[in-house]
Amino acid sequence: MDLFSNLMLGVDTALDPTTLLYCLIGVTLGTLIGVLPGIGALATISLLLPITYHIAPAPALVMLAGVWYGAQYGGSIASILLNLPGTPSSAVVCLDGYPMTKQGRAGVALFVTTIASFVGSMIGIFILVMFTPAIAALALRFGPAEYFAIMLLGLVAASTVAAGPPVKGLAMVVLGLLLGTVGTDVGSGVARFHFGFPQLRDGITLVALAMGLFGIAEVVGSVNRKLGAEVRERITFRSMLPTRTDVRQSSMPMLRGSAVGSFIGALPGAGVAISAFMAYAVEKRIARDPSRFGKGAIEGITGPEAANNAAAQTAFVPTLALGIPGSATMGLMLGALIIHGIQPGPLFISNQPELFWGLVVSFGVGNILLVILNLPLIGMWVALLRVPYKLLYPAIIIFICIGVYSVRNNVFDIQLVAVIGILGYILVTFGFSAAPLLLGFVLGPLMEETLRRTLLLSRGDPTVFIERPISAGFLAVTAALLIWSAYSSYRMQRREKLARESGLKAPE
Amino acid sequence: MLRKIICGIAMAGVSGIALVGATAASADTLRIVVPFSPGGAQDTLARWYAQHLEERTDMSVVVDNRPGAGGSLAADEVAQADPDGWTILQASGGAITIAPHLRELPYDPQNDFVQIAMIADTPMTLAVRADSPFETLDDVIEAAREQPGEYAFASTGHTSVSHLTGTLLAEAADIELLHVPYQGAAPGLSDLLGGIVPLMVTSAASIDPMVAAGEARVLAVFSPIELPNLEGVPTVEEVLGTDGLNSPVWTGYLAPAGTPQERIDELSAAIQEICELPETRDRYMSLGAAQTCGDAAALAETMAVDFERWGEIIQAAGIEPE
Repeated sequence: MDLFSNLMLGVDTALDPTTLLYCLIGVTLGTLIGVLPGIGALATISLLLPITYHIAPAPALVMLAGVWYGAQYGGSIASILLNLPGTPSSAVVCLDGYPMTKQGRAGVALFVTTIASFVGSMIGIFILVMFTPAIAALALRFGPAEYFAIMLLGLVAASTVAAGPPVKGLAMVVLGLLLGTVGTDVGSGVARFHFGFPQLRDGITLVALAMGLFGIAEVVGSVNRKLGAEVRERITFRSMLPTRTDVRQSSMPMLRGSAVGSFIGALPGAGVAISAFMAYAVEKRIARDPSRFGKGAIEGITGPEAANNAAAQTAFVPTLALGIPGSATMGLMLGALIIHGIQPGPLFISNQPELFWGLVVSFGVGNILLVILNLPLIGMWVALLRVPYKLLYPAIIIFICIGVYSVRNNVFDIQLVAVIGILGYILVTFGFSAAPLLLGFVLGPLMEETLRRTLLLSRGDPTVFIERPISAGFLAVTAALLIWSAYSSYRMQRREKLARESGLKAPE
Repeated sequence: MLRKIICGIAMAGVSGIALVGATAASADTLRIVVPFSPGGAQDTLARWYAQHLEERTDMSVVVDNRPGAGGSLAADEVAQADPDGWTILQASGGAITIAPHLRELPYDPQNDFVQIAMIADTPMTLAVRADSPFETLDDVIEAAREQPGEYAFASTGHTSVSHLTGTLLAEAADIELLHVPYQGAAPGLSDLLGGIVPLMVTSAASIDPMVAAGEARVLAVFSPIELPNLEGVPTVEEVLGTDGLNSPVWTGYLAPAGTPQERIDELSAAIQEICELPETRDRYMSLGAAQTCGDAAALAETMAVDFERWGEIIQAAGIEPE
């Protein structure tokens, strides 16, 4: 069958009134739980999964998928307005989104993130439609060596995500790597740093860490701040519209972010959060003036937003084309199929064309619905800032508790998020940025696992990293990046020195 | 106004989630604790039984997913529950017959539970990529004899059933294979299909769609299973010609020790009846499970054999307890 008739088949399925309704329910719910800190797609989908026993497979899958990508839209809203990431993958949006709110540009920030999300999703869907089998085949060629190389590149590229002194950023990356070692070691089965708590055998959940470091820390930190000192922005439609400069500054980052996100998302196991961090790093690296980042640079939100939405779409590539889910949430999607007796696997697309193409078309429909839903709601979200803290913050704490509990149905995680929150508050107080910690935490375990697996398979011979072309390519880029940043910091120092010397001669 | 809307949404969210929690607590509700997240084969099994138990008895049934620590969080939860017959564990190997050989557990798998019924076997298989030079299990054994330790097998985790089953094969055939653990079946399958690792010991359920698509082949199964795609695949026992190599991956229901015998019998009868339904067989096919039904005694025997077997394998392979 050619592409056109496939898409027509998909349109038939996706525009069926029932399916359309479930799509709307899915994306609306997705946006809502995305906004709520702590409660994420994973928990929501696992709560909804039992309900899908009673729905036909197509609307069920469409709805669950809607929750998943809808959450990517909602996730950035709280990041921008309150410095609280709704989902871990939108933590990076806090870095420049919150400063924009402080400058009274919350409406603009929300507007451009919606557009960036839409652009990212659409590019992701385009890639899903055009290249699914090819990407799936490519993803299989990524062995542990390639994963390690790409994660190393990510870590080196993104180690500068923090504003402020590099030493502090580096210290946080290392702390993140260390926290990532908590839990059962994949290689040996030994539980590390669990301090006798059986719950720590599976490690610290990303949600607990992100919500503790950003959410709880922000709430605790604001206790001493003067109440009502926040921005009282007048919300007019005008105030939401980006200026011409904003548009110019965000169009390329959206495309670059979409490219990064589409690529990372399609790799099973890499994840949406990593794509957002990498997109941020790319923007900061190639920016003419990197010092603007962390102070409300619009590229710092459009790049990562486009990336995490594109990644949310392409994450379906290995899941649907191979039956190999890249994350726990994608595993749940397959669960929804298994519930209906449909076997996911490499034959899924050819055996269930109406389901696959219906789902793909519903992504397009769902994203359009999300834009329609989100743009008029921006005003309401900004109004959230007017809710007094005494009402807002206790509610946030409750949502965080429900959210972390719902990930593993475990009271221990609530206690854990409280402890991490205190740690987060201390770090913020001393001027350490939490974003690099999260980055280290996300990348560290993956890097360790893939490094050790590569060396296990090569019997300890490290030359495999250079012998395999894809891995060698990523390592070369990493090396180039290191040399380039060493050179540019040397040049900067020299220029500063020269400036100081000339300054001594002619004080001004 | 806006504030009211926002508060309203927030309240609706909280009460919705509270409602889900509340149903679990009411009386006359059987709680099936499942040590896995929703969506997997084990969860689907539990919901199959929950649905049918509700239809056949006047109980309401909830499935309580308690993943974590290799199933021992769920097992501990049930071990400590009131033995009133309203909380049961959907148990499988890991936390009950493997973990006690490896580490101290907060519960005693031998004495803290009583068996109710056995419901399924989700057998392990030895799989290769479709274009692998290995045509039979004998080819693998021969190649591994020539180059000990050269061939690697992927497992779904260190000391998982998949790892120990692979080790069982190596011990029985007296060969040396390199063990490469993954976190679950998905990443291992990705490397098997990508040609990174030549062999994998994984469940029939996970490999079946790959076989159907012509991406992988199964050389042997570790206990008999009827699946259209695995027809004619010999068991390891048949290939090696030794008895006692079948290692079913059992699933059964356990109750806390001290549960009244009457209640156990009642549950056992209802569960076995559901297990033997013809539609259960169809459902199991799509889950890669064999309809291995049995009463409390049958489950107790399977568990005892399993416990013994993994103890020996762990010792023979020199896997260190923590």
